[in-house]
Amino acid sequence: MRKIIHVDMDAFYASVEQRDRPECRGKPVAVGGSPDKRGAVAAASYEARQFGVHSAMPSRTAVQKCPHLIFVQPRFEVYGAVSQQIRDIFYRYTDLVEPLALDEAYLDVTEQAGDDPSQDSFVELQSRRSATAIAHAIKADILAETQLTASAGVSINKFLAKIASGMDKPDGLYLIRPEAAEAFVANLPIEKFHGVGEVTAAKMHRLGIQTGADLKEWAEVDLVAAFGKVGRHYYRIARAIDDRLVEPNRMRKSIGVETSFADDVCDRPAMHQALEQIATELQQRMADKDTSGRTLTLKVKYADYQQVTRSRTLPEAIATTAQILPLATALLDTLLDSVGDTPLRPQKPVRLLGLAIANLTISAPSTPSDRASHPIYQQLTLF
Amino acid sequence: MAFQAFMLHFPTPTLLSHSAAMKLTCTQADLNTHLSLVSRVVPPRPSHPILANVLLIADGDTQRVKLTGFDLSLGVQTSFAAEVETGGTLTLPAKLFGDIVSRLPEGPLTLETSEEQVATLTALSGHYQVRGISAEDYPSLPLLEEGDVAMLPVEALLEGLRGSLFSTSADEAKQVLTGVHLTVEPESMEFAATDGHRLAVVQTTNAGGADGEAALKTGFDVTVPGKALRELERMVQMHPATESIAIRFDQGQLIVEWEHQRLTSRLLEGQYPNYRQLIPRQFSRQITVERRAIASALERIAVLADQKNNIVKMMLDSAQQSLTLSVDAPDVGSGRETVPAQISGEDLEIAFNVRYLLDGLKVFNSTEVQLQCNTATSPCILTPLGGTKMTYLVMPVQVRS
Repeated sequence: MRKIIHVDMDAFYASVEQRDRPECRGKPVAVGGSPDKRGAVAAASYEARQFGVHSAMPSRTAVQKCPHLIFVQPRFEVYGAVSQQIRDIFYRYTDLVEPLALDEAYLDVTEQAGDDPSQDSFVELQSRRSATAIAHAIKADILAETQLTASAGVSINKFLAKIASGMDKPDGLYLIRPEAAEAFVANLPIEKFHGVGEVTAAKMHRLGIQTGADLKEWAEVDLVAAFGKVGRHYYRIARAIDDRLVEPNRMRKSIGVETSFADDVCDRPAMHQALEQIATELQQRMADKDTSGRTLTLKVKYADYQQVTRSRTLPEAIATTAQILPLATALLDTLLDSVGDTPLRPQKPVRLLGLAIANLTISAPSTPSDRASHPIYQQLTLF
Repeated sequence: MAFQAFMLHFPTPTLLSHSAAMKLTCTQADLNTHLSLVSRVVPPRPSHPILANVLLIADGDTQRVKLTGFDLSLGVQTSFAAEVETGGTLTLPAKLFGDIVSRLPEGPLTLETSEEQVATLTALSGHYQVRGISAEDYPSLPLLEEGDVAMLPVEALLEGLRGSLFSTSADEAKQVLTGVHLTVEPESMEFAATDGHRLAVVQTTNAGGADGEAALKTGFDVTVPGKALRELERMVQMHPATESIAIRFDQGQLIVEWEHQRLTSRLLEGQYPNYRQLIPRQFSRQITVERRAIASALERIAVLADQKNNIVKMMLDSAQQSLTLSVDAPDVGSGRETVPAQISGEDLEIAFNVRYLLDGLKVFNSTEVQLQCNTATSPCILTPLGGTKMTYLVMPVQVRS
């Protein structure tokens, strides 16, 4: 049985800012663009969250909810440096570290931990301590070295570890024991399942699935019929089964390029033109990484911050602009046609367009040195 | 719908009734070259079966055979001398008929038609029968009774086409950019084409309008499909006119006629980009270089550049008065050449799609070329020094590491 830890920094960007700016401590802080620009909240401190401010919320809305909210410009280079410090701490405990973002990672400590993961004692054995003890030690190291708190989840697979880390935030440590795993999942509301988004959750609610127990009632074939291939994954996580490995140096899963418009755009030709630029850049990025993929995803963010994605998967690899562009344009047109653009239902203004290619083909890894020296080329246009 | 409109016209009424048997003798070479010219515009999957055919009209009075191919947008007509025993008309499947004629041995051919629209082709090697369709249903090429006329010397027309056609967009979705924009003034004509990455503009002088016909009162402009003009270029090269070529326009059509050839094309609709304002007038850097030297260096650079992303880097060295061209195709190879040049302005490193540079340099007919630019991310202008009056603008490739 594996022993997996998921470590998640608490309100990472906001906590770093509160650490470095004493005047922000104990106060509602939002990291992100100021409300007079068209900014959005990248991270909110716990004080701000009490007012209903959360990440990805337009800054303007955030100020309405919390008028004394302090806006701080993000300092990504600082977050990157802190993230590196944290990763260095992880590597003291295991080599099997899979960073998910700057502020979270999975660790596989099966080799390092004692045989009995249920032995939830904080007894510090020199060589074989429990996974929970390792998680505790990691949290302590992070606090000592960065003055920041993290929450950790401990269990037998990634799915459960990730849910566990969210159970006791902030500064939490939560263990889901193997024998308790199935019961835990059965009682979990479906929207808390990692990987079940708003849309899927709504669909599951319509189908009468409210909790893990409801999900478990469903046969695998029926889940696949209702949700596609991912239904197989739902079938397994309902049984607390998740065989996904913790993958150090996990390969990039997708390559994406996005453009936000200085002014919101309603005009379809202008969007097509932007798509062309994005497609060219995406192609360039793929060429630089010497890869191609089979799934193209279009992302549209409207001025009201509603975000929609549409994907299409082809039987063959998508590698050239000539392949990307018609597909992207078709996805966009279908989307725009479906939401309006008629005199009665005018086009909603769009603030951001993006394209990503996923389902990447495996290519020989290039050496770090030549990756670093790969510049990005972009053919400039006349109009 | 469009097809119906064309059905209102019929081939010239002076010809014999369609049902009469036709008989003519010509050479395999003549029939083959003229057939291949019109076959090029015959659509492979026509909207109406008869459009897959070529129209053949044998005229007993003029002793000529006229061939027509038409896809309702682009039409090509050509004629050649033959012994016409009995005049008549018929349409024959272009591909099939052409494939047979092209494989026949050189020498005389006779073509006879029966009342049942079957053509019998007799050559030295044997004979073939091909089923045709009555010419009655074949749409006639558009005619322009009114409209503007420009008279252009053959050389000027070819220069304009050669200098612009390569810059049209190959992307059918780009509509108006797939064409060449013609601006016709009383004394001159401007050819312009752009695909959004580069722009080619050629100015030519019209033939003297002494005959009065070319006396244009005002200028006007149209956008002509690149495909039509490529066919025109080919036809003019194969059958050059001895005198000027007449180009007629109205709102929807272009008709070019000379001697025994005629080409008609619908025009592209839509606003053509206001390209004149895109051409910078002031430059901080200017380079003069021998055309052949830079073109042949770029050809060699392109061998490697074509392997990856077509990118060539150009370094201006004013101290050395030289231009260094380099290519770096990761995992393939790299190359570098230095060409002497007269350079004014500060040193600069600028990157281009090597194909765009070569496309322009190939159509220049001068010994020296001038390059003018401001920065590595603004338009670069190439002009032949003394030669065609041509401006070729190329947008650079931005390099970000």
